[in-house]
Amino acid sequence: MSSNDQRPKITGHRSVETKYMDQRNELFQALKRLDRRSFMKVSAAAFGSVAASGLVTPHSFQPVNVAHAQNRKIEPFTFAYISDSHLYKRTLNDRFVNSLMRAVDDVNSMDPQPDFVFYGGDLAQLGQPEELELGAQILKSVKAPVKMMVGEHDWYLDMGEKWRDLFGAPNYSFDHKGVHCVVLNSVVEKDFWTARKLSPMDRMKTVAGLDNGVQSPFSVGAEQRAWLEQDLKGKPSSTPLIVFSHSPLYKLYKPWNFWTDDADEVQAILKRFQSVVVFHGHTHQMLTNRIGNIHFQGFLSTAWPWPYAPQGLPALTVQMGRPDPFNPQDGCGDGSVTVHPDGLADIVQNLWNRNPVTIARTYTASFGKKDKPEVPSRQSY
Amino acid sequence: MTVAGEPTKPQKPGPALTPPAQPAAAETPGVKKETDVAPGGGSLHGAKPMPEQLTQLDRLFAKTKASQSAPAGVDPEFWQALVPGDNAITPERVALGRKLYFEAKLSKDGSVACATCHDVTRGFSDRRARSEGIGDQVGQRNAPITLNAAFFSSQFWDGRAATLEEQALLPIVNPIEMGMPDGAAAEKAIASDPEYQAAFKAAYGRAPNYADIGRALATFERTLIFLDAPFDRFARGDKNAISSDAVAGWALFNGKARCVSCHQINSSSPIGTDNRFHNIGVSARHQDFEKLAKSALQALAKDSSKETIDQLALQTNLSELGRFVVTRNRSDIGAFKTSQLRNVGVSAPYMHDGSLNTLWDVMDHYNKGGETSLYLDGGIEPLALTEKEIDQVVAFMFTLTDDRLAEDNAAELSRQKQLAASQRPFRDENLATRKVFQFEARVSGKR
Repeated sequence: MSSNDQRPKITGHRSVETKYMDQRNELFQALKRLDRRSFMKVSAAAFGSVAASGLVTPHSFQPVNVAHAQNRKIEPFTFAYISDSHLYKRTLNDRFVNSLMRAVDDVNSMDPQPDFVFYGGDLAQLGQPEELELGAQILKSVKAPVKMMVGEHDWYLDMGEKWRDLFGAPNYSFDHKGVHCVVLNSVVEKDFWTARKLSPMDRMKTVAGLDNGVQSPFSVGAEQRAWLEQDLKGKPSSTPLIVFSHSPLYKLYKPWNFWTDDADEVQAILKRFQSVVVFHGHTHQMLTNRIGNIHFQGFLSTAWPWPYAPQGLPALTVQMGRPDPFNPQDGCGDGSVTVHPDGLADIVQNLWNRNPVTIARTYTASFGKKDKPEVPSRQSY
Repeated sequence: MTVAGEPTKPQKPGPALTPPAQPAAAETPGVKKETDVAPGGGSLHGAKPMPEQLTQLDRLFAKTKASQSAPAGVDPEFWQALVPGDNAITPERVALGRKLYFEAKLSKDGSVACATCHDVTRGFSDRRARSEGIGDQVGQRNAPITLNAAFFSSQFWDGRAATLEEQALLPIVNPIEMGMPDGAAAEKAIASDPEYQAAFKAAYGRAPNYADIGRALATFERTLIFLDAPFDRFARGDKNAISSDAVAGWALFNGKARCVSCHQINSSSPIGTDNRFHNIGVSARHQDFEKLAKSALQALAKDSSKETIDQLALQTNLSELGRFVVTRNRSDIGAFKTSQLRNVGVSAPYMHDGSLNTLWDVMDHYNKGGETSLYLDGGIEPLALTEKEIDQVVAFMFTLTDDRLAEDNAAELSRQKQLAASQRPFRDENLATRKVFQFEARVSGKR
């Protein structure tokens, strides 16, 4: 479980996540009892049912798909992303609502349709139920299956209660066409509120602020790292991994929380895999990095673009230029990702009213020597 | 040359705003005697006969003489940068360009001159939604006024020509405008005329030729500078030069109505354009951009010459892609050049397809946040302007017409006012006041 020890315990019911973990453990136990031949048989049968069900809720089939990944070639596939919509109630700020709807329209008009649409976190601005419900309502219009990730703006009013009600567990994994995908809650903060006797809204507003010196840096946390290790256990290093985290899974700029405090520990867990691509939200900008075997790409926001951090910008980043102040959607956008048989991915950053920028996998694979993306024009139109 | 893209059927013009002129047969013999006018050219396709236009042109320039130097109020160095080095303005070149502007012999059937669609008596346009060329064929685009065209940094609605020289030649060879098979044919049409031989010799020191036709026309257009309006007197300090409504409209123009985002009026753009291309949602009303963009790319892969682009823009449904056909950049899909604001009162109907009949319609369009598409400029937002505020911005816009066209401006104001009182087809208060959002209907599948 992601999270934080100080989180109010939900008693009386087992979360989807807990049920899922139990189910997983059960399956692991069962698999241990099988010899290899029988294992393959079970896998094949289960794979058939996965294929038939269209992989909408892949969680339960995950261990079986692992076997599939070992034995079948990876098929290239495309998913779209939408991220960081920061919705207020529509009576307070309709621009962000309209922008999220524009993104939905965007991914709905993709032809061919993406296999799924990944939401990168920060659906809400202040974690309020009506903000999250509004977002959930709009995302229902997405034609492709939607996969959700949590951001700090969704979480710190009620410590994720409403979000989990709407979308389920904040951390989970699934397999898709031979690639293992892991979704993390990377915005776990240490308790800064109890001692200060902060109300839930004060806590939320503190986290939503930048540069305030009160909140703690984000982290994945020991509990979730253990879960991750368990999740990856037994997977051959040739398994291509895609990891989603809201904050960048490296240390970029601490005062703005463009940062994950235990990034090194998480990277250590991912290190043995040949190809790992991390996609993150939070930074609202084109952001590219590579650390060893791990390739990082940031998502655009639908709400507003952040400026680049004053220091620590990764050398591979292709900067998206200064947004046009007369055009409130400039520097915003959505995008799509095509995952190739080598497990690496091309990302298309669909900057609204500018030309889409493609960052090819060969660019990060060659440490920037090959296929340098065209720098987006300074002009927005 | 074959043009891909789905051709649109040549259409008869819609309801004309001015009574269509009679066909050639109705021309009076007296008209044809006018030596300055090519025989047969004139009153076809709804244009006023050329002699009437010439009389009007003389009247407009009775006080202000076209000069070689920078027009009044325009910085001389800035002006110099607008005139190409190889085509300095000389009286001979102006005279030749003027003659060519009214020359219907430059068209295949002798029925169309520049002045057919850029009629001096109709604000240097044709008061039609979309223009009519040879064989009564109607194109896809509205004819912009030729006044002040020299200040644009690119020409045509999609900027497909970089200079006036280049622009002036393309209609001559466009199959549905003037229809000449090529430049040589246009050259041949006038080359044996002794008057032209003398005029070209005087202007460029050589025999009539196609490139110099473009140069001379461009030079003539550089004399059509109409920048002396009531608003300019107001800007210079005469507070009574425009009405209090227009003053309030000016404030809205720079504030709540957001016009100034693209229509800056300043010394480097005295005509009120940013010279850029925006999708403000005019073509979104009836377009599947994705599908169009794909077929445009296929067509341009085969041939992307400027003549092909010209034909795609005027003759096929790819016209609605606007700037995209020129650049093939996705960010240019459905984007058109920011029009000038000068003389906007006399240049109805509005937009690249002439789909908005009055300036009230224009305000209604912007007020509701344009028409939604994925390519809508992010700066286009619902404005929540009240009726009074709309009237004020419109009042302001009617102060931008040059004093020489004041009579026409007043007539247009009253005509548009009357029309707007009876129909406001683009008015949508729910969208304007954000009770309904632009993308809502699309996303929920209702549209």
